[in-house]
Amino acid sequence: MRQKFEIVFTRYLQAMGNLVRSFIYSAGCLLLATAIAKFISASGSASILHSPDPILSIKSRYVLCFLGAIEFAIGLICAFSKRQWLQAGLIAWLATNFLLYRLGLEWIGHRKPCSCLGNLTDALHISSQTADVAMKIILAYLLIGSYTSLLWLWCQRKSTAAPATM
Amino acid sequence: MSIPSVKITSFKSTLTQERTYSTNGDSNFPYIRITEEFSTNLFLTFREGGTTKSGERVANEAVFETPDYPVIGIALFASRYQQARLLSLLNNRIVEDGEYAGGPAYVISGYVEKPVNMKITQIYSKADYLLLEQSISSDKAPLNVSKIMAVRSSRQDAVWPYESIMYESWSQVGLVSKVDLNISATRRNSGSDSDFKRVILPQGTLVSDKRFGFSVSYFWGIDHLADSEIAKMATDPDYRTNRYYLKYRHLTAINQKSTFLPNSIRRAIIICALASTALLPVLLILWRKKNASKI
Repeated sequence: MRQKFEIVFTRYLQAMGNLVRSFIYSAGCLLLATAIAKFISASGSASILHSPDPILSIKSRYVLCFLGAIEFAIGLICAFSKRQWLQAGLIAWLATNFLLYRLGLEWIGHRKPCSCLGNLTDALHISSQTADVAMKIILAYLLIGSYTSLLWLWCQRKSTAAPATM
Repeated sequence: MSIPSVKITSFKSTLTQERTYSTNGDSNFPYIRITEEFSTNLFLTFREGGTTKSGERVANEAVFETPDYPVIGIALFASRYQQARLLSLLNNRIVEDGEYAGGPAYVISGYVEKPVNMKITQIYSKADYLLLEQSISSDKAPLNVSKIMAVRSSRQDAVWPYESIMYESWSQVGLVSKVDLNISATRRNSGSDSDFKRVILPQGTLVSDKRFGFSVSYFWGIDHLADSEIAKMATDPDYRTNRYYLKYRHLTAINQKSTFLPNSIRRAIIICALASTALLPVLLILWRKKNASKI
């Protein structure tokens, strides 16, 4: 009975480990993609790039470049690093910042779709509304996935650390 | 709905001009784009209309943008094609099928032609606030009457009585609670006075709507020109550009009262929250290092 339980538990741990790994890789790919989109948008000549960001009051072009660089760096870490704590933590950190930013936009009454993808939506013939919804879904995915991963990693660390301390 | 604060009191006096040409390569048709940055980062882009070599009539258009109000206004004096094009300028507010996505917006509009009429109507019905061109009468646009904030006037004096009647009728039906027409002296920068003798009404209209706790003062500059000036503008794009520059400099003030915390304070709070979240990993690393050194 105990053996069976151990087998099931090990499989569960393996499955969760695979899930976390998959999440981190997929999040890395998403971040790399959105980073590239931001770089492409920032290199364009759309008028929105000259206007200041509604919250940061910095030119949107600079904000796109800066965020693109951060997303790109985290995307690379997700793709190549082996430290899951760091990967999940960075994704959670970035997603939390994005969430705060979006809440801030709501608070100041800025109802325009977030220009996360800049004018790339025009090039792809996607309406900014659709892009905005897609970015919200990605944000939710990153938030839920990263915090779940962190929670799981934390539980795992606790369970592995417990026998050692006894 | 809370109304974000917008206060435009002066211009930054920065003017960028781009001159390109129409997409069909018609060099006789200047594409003048003037972007002015106002004190509160209001951007105005004006496109000068005209007639292309192929005989197509292309109309004037102007788009105002602010961070708070992505579309603060559009001006339509447009052919069907141009209206469609102008709508495409607003594509970040309009979903694929051409429907306006809604949200805070001022719409300044002039002559509306079918078939984009429907789309314009959608904008009217979904915009939060409207600034209206004088040539829109209540029978032309099925407006949500509570949205009208201000009425712009730019017609010649001959049309003025008609407009006054229109405003009056709007007042009577409760469209606006107060109509105040500002008629100020002619302004000019250079040239002889004789050029401006026909400039009778440097139009400005102030409409306050107290029901919503805000007022808007809106002043539009001179756009009634002497024949000689019109002739000069027709042949000299630079002169035309300068004229429009002068014209838009007279847009002096749009004031609104904020209902709650001003946006500047809200922004500051949000930036603080963002900064503290952004610095969290650094603090975490420092804390761990400190703990490690203790051990």
